[in-house]
Amino acid sequence: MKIILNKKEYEVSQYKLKDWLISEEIREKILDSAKEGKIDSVCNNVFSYIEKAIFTEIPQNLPWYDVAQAFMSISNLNVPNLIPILLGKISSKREAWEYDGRLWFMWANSFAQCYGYTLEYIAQMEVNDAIPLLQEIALQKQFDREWQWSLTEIAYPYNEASHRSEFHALARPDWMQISLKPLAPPKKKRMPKDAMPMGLVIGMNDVISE
Amino acid sequence: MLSLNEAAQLYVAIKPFMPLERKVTPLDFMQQMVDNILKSGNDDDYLAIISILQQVSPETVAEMPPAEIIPIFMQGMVDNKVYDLIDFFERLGL
Repeated sequence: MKIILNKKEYEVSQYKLKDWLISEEIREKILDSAKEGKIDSVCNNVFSYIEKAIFTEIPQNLPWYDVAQAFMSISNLNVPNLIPILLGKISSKREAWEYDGRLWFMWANSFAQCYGYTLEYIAQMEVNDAIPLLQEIALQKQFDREWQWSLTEIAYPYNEASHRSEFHALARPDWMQISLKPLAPPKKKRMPKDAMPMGLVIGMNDVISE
Repeated sequence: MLSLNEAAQLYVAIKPFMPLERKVTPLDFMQQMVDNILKSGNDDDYLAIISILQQVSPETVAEMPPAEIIPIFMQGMVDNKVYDLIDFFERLGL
């Protein structure tokens, strides 16, 4: 896909896993900064996000619309296929062992441990292959934990009412309890004629549909 | 057109005055925004918005004839594609 910025054309392609994870961390910083109302940080990270994709520094005084179009195009190009593990809640609590860039090492560790892949190989994995594989790793770990749990005494608490021990299953993460339903088609809405734009108008939605 | 940082400042400045109803013409939308700003009685907000659009200090805006200010506001909103600007920064969660 081509994007035009500062009168120059840049070819951008879908990220491989490592670059995608780094760009996702930048996107997360944008959202976090926006929540805290930190305008400078939002803008700086929007520029970082674009610069990462085009491998070039861009001047900060470019028209906002061009920057926004570039950001949305790159962002939409790298939207992964939606699978349940992506719908899980992410804790906003920052643990003591967190640091910038950890996401990549976390994923690399999982793939290296489970499949014996090298870091170079993992970095170049397709995002839409890596995410389902990570889900399989997480599922396997959860089923192993459930099996171990079922062998422990605390999984069978005594019920005073029935005078019997009853099995209590180990709680599953929320993404294992969500089933993906196909989206209903959007409802058609009538737009007042006088609210329609005149001439050739390229809005954010045109960028998204590309 | 404004830079990204200026556009973000503009978005934050106009956010409290944005009409809730979006099913109106762009002209009505901007008119309602002006009405909301005037109703709020906070001239500083209005001066801040114009100073972002004009890239001048609020003091300079305060010295402008009032009749000049509304066209500057309207033109600034049109030039900066205010609907798209709002849409973009809302998507970012600002």
